[in-house]
Amino acid sequence: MLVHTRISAPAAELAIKAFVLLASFASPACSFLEAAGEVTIGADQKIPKVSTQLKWPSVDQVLGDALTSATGGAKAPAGLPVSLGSATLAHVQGLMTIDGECHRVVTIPTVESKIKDSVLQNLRFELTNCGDPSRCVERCGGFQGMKMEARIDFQMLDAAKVKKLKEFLSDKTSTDAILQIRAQFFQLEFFETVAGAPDGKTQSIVELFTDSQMGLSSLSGDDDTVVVEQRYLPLISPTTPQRFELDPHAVFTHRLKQAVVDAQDAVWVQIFEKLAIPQKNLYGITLGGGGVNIELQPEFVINALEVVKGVL
Amino acid sequence: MIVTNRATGSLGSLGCTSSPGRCSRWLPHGFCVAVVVICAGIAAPAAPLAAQEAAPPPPPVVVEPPPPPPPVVVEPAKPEPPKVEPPKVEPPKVDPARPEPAKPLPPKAEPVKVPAAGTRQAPPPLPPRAKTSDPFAIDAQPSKTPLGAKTKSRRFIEGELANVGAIGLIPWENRFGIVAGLERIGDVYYLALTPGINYSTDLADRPFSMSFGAPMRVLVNDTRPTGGWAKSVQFRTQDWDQVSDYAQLIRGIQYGGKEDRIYLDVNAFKSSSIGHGLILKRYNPNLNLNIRQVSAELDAFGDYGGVELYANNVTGPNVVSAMGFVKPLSFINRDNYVMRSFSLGATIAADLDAPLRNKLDFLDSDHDGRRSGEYLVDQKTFQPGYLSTKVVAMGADAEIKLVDTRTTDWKTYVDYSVLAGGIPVDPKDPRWDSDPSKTGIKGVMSSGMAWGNLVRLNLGEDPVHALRLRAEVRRYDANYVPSYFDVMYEIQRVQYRLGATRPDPNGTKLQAVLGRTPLPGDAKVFGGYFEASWRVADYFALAFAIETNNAAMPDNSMFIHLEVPHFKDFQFLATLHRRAADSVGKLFSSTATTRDILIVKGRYRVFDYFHINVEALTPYGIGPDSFFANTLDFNVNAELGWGYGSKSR
Repeated sequence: MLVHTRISAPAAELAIKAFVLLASFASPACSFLEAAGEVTIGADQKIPKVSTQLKWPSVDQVLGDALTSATGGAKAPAGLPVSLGSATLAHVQGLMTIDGECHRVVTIPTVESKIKDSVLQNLRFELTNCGDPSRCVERCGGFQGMKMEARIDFQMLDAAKVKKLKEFLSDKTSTDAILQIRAQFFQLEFFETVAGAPDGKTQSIVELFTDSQMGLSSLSGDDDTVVVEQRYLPLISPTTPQRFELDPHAVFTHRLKQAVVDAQDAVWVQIFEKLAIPQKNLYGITLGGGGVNIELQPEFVINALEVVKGVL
Repeated sequence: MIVTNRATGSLGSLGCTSSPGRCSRWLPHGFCVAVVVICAGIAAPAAPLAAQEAAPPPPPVVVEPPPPPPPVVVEPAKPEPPKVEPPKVEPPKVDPARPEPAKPLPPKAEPVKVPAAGTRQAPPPLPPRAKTSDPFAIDAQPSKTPLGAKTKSRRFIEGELANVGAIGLIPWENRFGIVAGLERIGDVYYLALTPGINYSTDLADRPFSMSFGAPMRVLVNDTRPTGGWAKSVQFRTQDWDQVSDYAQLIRGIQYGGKEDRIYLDVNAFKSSSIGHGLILKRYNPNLNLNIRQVSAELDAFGDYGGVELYANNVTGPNVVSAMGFVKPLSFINRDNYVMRSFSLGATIAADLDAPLRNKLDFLDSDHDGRRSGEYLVDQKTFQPGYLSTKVVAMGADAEIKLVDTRTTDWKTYVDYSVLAGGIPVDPKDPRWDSDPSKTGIKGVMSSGMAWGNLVRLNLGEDPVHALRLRAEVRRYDANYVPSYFDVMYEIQRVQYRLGATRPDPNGTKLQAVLGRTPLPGDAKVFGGYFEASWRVADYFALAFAIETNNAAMPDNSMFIHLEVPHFKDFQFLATLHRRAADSVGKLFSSTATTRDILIVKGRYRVFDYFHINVEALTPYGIGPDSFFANTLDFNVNAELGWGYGSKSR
């Protein structure tokens, strides 16, 4: 039984002391809260993987009009075939040189790919002939060989993924709430069909490039952002997946964040692949039998506190 | 449960009982807290308290009234003979940069002032502060010299007046206990428990203090992609898996003062300076809060010279410094302060592991997907990876004292120093990312000099107001910076332009300073430095400094510091550094910058056994983005402990 006889001013001091005592246990570090508020939305939140195979167009698709005239007759000199089948890049380079071309662009609306849960369309394939250093100087920059660039529209988030993301983000969420957009690559393999091998056996041709870049941009293609560079390709495998973030300072990243926040349906981006194949390796790569396998897990790191702020 | 039944005569008594109507715990302010629950939960204090209660009551203390003072005999006023001032004997003063040995002083004869007839007898002046090894001690007992035979034995207060840049507080009393709180190391959060003990005493008439702590960290949340909330109690074994880890038991060991013949300071939170500071000034090896380094400084001097030695880590130093000086004119005449004070010195300081080029996280060691977008950070130590080389600063200086009176001390000095290191011939060479052979380094050397004046004042008697003013004029090469090893060095050695949002492999301090382009015509930079500090006993200390230059160098800096070393139940210090600003105007902008260091530390005694440590810091830890960043952290730590010994309160 405690007897309260008087309440005096120092009681307030004691109350303050008691409050400080409680606060010392209840007041964690601000940064701790911040860090605890960081949530990665990825596989654990059932955001599905993206798994696809993009095949290069055939030589005939790329060089068709180089081999045939407008009337359908053979354009090439007599003795050369009108179809190259799975000719190597060395053959392609030879034909382009004969035709006086240093640069060729082919657009193929329908893409042959093994679509699992993504959509690819509008392949834009570009070949640059860097065989003669005196030509195509602007595009080749002193490099000797062939440069290849493929761009394709890619449905990064379909309606289901958007819906899943919207469980975490509201329409009022600031783009600042998305701290990072990244992808964990389980596969990014440039392959070539082994000639004559049964069952379409493939082999990696990564070592044939001296430089390659895989990246993303808007559909307009004016804000390329490199995601994976050549040096990382050997590291990526299903057993050693590798994460790559989108450059947080890139224009594309800001646009993508906004698109994700605003998304109601699907989000489309453009994937690009840029390869540089030195002259000596041109015989090792065919167009018709090659391509790239991509398997990645998109991840969004969001700041839950920012999300809550947006809702309030 | 608070009982507001004020009692008298029981203040400070301890007890653990729930007897109705009986106070179980008296606060110093006269309030009682029933600590039944607390006592049940805290076994350690309960035992001695219970024993105290069981002990027979002590005999009553009989306080004898003091003997009546002798009657004051007021002599009739007599014509006073002309006063003859005794020759003024100056107490020995010691310069921290060039300490001078204390000499025994003859007692100063004080004129006896006789009050005029009919005037009110003024209370006797406070006896002078006893000669104490701690000139700032506010609880030093007055000397027992009989009135009228006073000896002015107070020592002149000099040396640093404030702990500018210190990131820790040592309890003012002899205590043992435990501090609990949250800590972040890199991306990982821990519950930190630090049992500690500190002890202070006098040894050979000099202050000797020790403070030890054993930090133990328990994982709470690993915010890396591969981490998560701790599912079980996991101690951070890296804290104690190497022999060198055991140095972190030391929080501080200090013997003597900066001006004593022997001064030893081993500590884990203070900043240090060597000489006049043109090479190493207020360098704090623990500003990078991801690591804990125990630094050591040893000063020793004799009548004709001395040395100052410094190492930033007792278990494996990388920043080391030494200064030696001689006082050649002391051989001729030690009684003349001008001759006695003239000295010639030489200083050397080096970073034996100076970052030359930072490595980037190409292999994504922290699994966050940032590669060329962040620095490589060791995921166990949370230290950045870099290619290293050495940077060396060497200097020579001369100083002389111009004024040396009882209250004023003024000396002037000239310092000249060179800075030498190597920078990459081709910093864009990609081999620098991984090739540690460091082929292609070119040697670079730069120099600077300063003329400085240091004025120290001791005003008043009790308390003494100690003031310290320093002003320097500087002239140096564009690729030289005064005080290369400064308060921010531990961070800027890796990441000179703090606040940059992209990692710069070549952004080390070594390259950022020594790699600067010379000014047109190899013109020199002119700069200035001014510093003022003021301290009144342990009540408070204030300090302010600014340095600037006439070139477009981002070397403008300032700090402001407020400190309450110990006042009642309270300890406090606050320092705001703003470093490497582009202009003087930006030093005083109200907008916080990424190159600010804010250190606010407070310690408050809630109960005898419970203290609160409050801190607001902009720690330069490596966070989730693998940059050094000074995000503001606010922490409140609880400290349970008990005082012991004669110096406990």
